[in-house]
Amino acid sequence: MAGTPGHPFNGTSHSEMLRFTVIRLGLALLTLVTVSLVAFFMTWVAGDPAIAIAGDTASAEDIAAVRDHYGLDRPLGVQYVDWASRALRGDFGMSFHFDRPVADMLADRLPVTLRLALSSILFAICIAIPLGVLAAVYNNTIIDRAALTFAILGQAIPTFWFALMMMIFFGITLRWLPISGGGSWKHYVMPTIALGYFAMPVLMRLTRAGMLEALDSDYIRTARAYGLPARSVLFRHALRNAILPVVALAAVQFGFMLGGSIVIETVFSLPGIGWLGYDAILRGDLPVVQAILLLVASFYVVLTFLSDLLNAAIDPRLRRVRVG
Amino acid sequence: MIDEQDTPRAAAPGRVVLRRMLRHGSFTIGATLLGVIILIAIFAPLIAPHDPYATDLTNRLLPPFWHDDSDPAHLLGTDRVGRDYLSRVMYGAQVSLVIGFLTVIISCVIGSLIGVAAGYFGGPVDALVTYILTTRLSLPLFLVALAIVALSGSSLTTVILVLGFFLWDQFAVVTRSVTQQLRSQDYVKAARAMGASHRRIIFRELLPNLREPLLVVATVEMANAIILEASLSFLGFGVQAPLPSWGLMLSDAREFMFFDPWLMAIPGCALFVLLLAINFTGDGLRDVTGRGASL
Amino acid sequence: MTNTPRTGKSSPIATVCATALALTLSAPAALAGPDDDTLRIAWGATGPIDNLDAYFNTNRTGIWFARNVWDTLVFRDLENSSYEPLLATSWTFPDDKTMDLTLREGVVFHNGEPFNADDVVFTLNFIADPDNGVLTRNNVDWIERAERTGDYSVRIHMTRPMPQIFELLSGPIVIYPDDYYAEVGPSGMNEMPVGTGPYRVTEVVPAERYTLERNADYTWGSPKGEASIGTLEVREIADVQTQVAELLGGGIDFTADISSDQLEQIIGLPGFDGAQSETMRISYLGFDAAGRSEFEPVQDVRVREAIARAVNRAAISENLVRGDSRVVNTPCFPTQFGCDQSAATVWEYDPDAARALLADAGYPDGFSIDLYSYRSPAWSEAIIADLAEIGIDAKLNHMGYFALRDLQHEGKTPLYLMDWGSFSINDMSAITSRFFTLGPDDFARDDELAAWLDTGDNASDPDKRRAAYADAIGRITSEIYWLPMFSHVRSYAYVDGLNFKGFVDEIPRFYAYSWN
Repeated sequence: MAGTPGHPFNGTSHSEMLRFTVIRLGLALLTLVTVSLVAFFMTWVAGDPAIAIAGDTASAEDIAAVRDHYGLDRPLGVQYVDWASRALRGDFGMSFHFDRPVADMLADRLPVTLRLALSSILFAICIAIPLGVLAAVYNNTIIDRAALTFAILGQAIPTFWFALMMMIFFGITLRWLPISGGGSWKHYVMPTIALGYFAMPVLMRLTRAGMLEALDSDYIRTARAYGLPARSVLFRHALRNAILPVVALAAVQFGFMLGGSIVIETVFSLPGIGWLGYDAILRGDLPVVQAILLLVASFYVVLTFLSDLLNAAIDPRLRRVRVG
Repeated sequence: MIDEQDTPRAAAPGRVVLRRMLRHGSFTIGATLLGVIILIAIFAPLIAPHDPYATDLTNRLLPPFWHDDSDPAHLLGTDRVGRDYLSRVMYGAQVSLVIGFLTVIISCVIGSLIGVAAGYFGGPVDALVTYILTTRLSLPLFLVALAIVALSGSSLTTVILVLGFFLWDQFAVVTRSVTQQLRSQDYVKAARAMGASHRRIIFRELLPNLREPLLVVATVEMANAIILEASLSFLGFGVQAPLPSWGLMLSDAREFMFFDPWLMAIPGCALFVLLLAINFTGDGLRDVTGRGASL
Repeated sequence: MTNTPRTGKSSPIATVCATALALTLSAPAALAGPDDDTLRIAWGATGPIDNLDAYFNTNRTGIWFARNVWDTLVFRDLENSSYEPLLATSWTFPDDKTMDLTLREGVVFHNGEPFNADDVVFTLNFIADPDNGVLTRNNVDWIERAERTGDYSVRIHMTRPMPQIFELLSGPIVIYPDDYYAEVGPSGMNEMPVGTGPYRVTEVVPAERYTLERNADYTWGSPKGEASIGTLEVREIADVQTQVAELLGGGIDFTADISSDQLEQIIGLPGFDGAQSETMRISYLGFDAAGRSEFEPVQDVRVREAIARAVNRAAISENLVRGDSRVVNTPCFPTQFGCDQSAATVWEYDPDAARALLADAGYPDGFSIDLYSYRSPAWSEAIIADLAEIGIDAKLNHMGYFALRDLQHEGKTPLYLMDWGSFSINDMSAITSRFFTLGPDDFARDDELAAWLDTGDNASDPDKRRAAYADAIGRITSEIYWLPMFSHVRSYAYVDGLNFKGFVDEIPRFYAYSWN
């Protein structure tokens, strides 16, 4: 992903790392501005929001009044600048459908999605890393095959289908877990497994690849040749090298999950921003859709920025190809 | 095993790769399954026992063959408006495959163009591509796709276009890095020194080398596109009824999932088998070509 | 319109699954409801309530909520089809634009505020003022102002004679506490609704859940009766299948959003029961006869007749909607005032005649058309298959309600399957007049028709109203601006042990429920 030549840590590292950081930061800001433009115009050109706001029984005058009230008759550019400058101050306007500020609605819903994304990514990491290590250590054996098959199953089972099956089994047949809502930690178990299993394969593959590479490196071979115990080689050296890119990728995956939990939140009626976004799209509640787009993109940009820095700091080579 | 050690992976000649593929268990399984599904899709009009659109309201929700009171005329039973389920599953393969292939073609073209340009020209072009790529990745795909489809009206074309214009990122990442590596290779440098045009170098030297990595990415993205379509249709924003899409069939079947579970099981299995086939194929390609182990 | 608990016609597979489910369900089901005297309700299939303030809400569930939390001046007795005293004890009409009401004494709002004339005057004047932006203007624009004539008496001045006044005073117009509402306004009422009704609200999590408790002060002899169940816990669950899963899994006790198919299967399980009733909601196939979408074929009445004869409404009603649903031939629900069945032209299913009509209209090979709808795609799919029989290739555009409504207002829908529930108002003005008086939903644009409906809505002589409405029904069904399709049903499923009581207007009165 990185386009800047030169590695931050070769030679006079500090200034190079600083330069890298500044360029990345600029890119992050530029991206955010672009995303805000996309969010604003994509939803705004889709239809006349005045008709949507005016509602079921609106007359032509009502629509005109709405247009006037919301300033929808101003040039789009002016509206964008107005919207963006308010958004910077955390003001996303009022929902078209609920008599509430969008910012309040997001504040209510965001913690749910953050909790879900965090628990899912932790779940995915906890499965992916041991499995990836096992697969690498027992490369080309039945264990490796089984691990890869388990990963492929995660990619091949549609998340919503998996979620529904869990709902029937754990919710109805066994009655162990609540089926919908977000009242307690128990409500997060099934959504976490469904979402985490889907995110797991890519992390597992990266762990496996990283471990294979590390185990194959001169450094580890030397360590082995010097007779260091296998366990120590594996965990203190190989794993440490392999794990950081995985963590960096997990951070990015976390960003994806914030926007990718829509189906899961909808199926489990989990009141997070994904479900809010789906509902807002259904209702044509544009300010909510825009705010969620912007929020999720901001999370992603920040996480990518941090993950890039992390990657660049540990291993310059990793900056060249990044998987997401 | 001798082949694998003696032949440098990056330069594996086609025949060796092919031989290795055939020996690769999961690739063989995946490719065979995929082939069967493609054949079913192509020959659906010939082999489907019924018109997948013909409704019969008096014979709705007939059970499949493993139930005692099934109707032999409808092996997999009928859906909620009395359409033959087997025929719909067969035609459904067409929908999923069309979406998978067309999306991948569009996104592969976009992604490789962008990736090659960035890797080959470097400098400002590369910076621009990095910026476009970051912007694309920061947009939450599913939410944006949902919004576009909801706002512009759902149809097969809309879904393909939206997914095609969104799933190019991995193609770009991979082509860019492969291009960067190749650009510094001696023979490319030599070709440039001899005054070969950019176009010639890109088409003659770069693209052939991109084939394998692109194929690997294509399988991943194809599976991705099929899942996304199913999820969009499941939420009611994918393709339009009565088109026999598996995602749509699953969405319709939800109403009956507690009592007539086969209605969900059948299209769910079809989708699962297809995704499994694509993933096995992709995994095999990845192993055999030694490309993108971490993708 | 009866509330008959139905016996499921369960197929053997269903029985197998049902038995499997039953094995796991029977034991824990005892944990539900009665022990803590809490009825856990799920609703929200058409989205959560936008705003709990009844005047700023158009959701049906908002009406359900309102009926349990607030009271109206007049009580509509559905069983005897009469209007009885509620917050008002008596009323007179000095002339056809004035109404005097005497109010009940001894009623207290949930926050302790005593009920008196000030509350009524404040509420009516607030909603009558266009600046306050009450959503359904038709419900309130007949109020000119309300005037206090004593501690417990008020006078309502009307802008015009209002034939449906009792429907409105017993339905959408609920009375708010003046001090509280003046202080907190609509947004405060949304956050914490306060009324005089049989249930008081104790907790609100917007668009998610509400807790209601029995109003212990509701002892002043309201015709609604005191509530029996101690606590209602309402959860907004948009997904009907999740609602069913919650019901089967013991998470909720009551749902009213399920399909007939699901009802038949759920009541086959031990531990559950259900009921169904026909509702005032009717589906109709609408045509862009006026050419707003510039789609030519449906502007020809022969094409509309062809479609009307090609669609097998009885088969859809019987097999897909099921239960108590029946074919409707009028652009209004048969019990509604003015909805004269004999005034309608009835179109029988006759595909051969339909083909001939199409050929006659110059489309022997049919044509392609966009069909818009937002309800169950199964109904549209059946219609599409029927139309395919006569050579019409209908392409479904299934979308969300709001998106479709906006498209309609922009006049872009040549053919649409929609439905309307009349807000449960038992008067033709609540449906036919809404769609054919040249508003944004009017695809007929028929001035004479609009004039008849205007007469029907506003004349004070009931016979004159009936005659005008009959003319309107005749015009709509002979010109086929709409093909009325069928009535909807509402299916309720709940745990055993709940004394359910259904009402014809599709509004659950939870205060009338009790535990066995």
